Amino acid sequence: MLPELNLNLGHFFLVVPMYNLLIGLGMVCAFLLWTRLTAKSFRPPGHHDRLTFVMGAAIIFGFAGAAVFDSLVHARPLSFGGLTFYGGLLAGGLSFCFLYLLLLSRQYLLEDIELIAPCLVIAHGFGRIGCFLAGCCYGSPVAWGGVLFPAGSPPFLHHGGPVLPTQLFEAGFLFLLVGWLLRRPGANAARYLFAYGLFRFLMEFFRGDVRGAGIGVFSPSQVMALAMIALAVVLLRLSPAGENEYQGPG
Amino acid sequence: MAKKRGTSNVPMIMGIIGGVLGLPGAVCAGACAEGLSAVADEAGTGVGDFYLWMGLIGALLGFVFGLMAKGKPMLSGVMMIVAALMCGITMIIGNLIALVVAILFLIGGIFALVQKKEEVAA
Repeated sequence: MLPELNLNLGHFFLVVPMYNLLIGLGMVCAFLLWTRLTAKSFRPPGHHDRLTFVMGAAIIFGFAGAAVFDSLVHARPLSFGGLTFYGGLLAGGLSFCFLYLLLLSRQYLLEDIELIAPCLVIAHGFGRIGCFLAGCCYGSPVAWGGVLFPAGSPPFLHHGGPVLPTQLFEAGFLFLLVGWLLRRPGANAARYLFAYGLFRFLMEFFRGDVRGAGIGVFSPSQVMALAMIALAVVLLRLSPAGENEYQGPG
Repeated sequence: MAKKRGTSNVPMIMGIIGGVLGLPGAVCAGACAEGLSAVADEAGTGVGDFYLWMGLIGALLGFVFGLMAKGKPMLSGVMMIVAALMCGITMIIGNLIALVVAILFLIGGIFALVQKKEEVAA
């Protein structure tokens, strides 16, 4: 765990929040990957530039949504101290679709979502490493094979011993998922929603942090995971099978 | 009619890293300024809000125009330098990460202006 990188610069101390830095690195990798993927796809002049603006705006709305969702789920005042991925995905996804339909031709919407899906997964994977460094989103306590977070950290204060590093499990899964999406392109968004929804639904049983008030035995994240799986099925029906011109990075 | 387009990824990288570091920096600057003004005047004067919004808008400007640096290189370059100035101002209340953010935006802005450009059909 390394929530902050403290750099001693003579008379000054520079504190770099590692969670934010990892989120930033994830977004850089995502945009570099996106640049590479879109280089092979044909779109009208100016389409990619407008799409970049839409993605930038959707990211900002996504962060705002992640903060609002986190404050609602955990019933605490609104701040940027806590972010919830599902809130970000919901707000970012809705604002992306709205702005896309406002500024771009709807003809390419599904194909562009196909290209964006692997980029989102890679940014999400880096974000989970950021969670591990920040000491949030930890797993339930275990006697063997867990990670002992430093004294005073949220996992230590909560459980007082080693906990499952669910953040690293999730990061590993997401990096494998991005490899799968890139090696075998086609219905990327649906496969991402289905695979991540299923993984997250199961992973929630091993989470040890406060999960918020859910519906019945399910946590809010499990309800969202089920919604993701349902959306994946809908997208699979809408997916332009065999018409996507993107044929992989190689 | 041909349109000029940037080719460098540097402004985008600088804009993203500066943006994600600028957000906590802005919150920190607002809190620090509020604390300092409270110590000086024995009452908060709302000066923290000014630095908070200055840093926040600067970070968002740098982030968005960093992403748009290929499509609109000249506008993005100028706006990233403006964002660097806005974030840099918040440094005067001791928010050192604003210095890093301002430097990142400044480098990104300069790269956006001087990057190699290609002509594409409009």
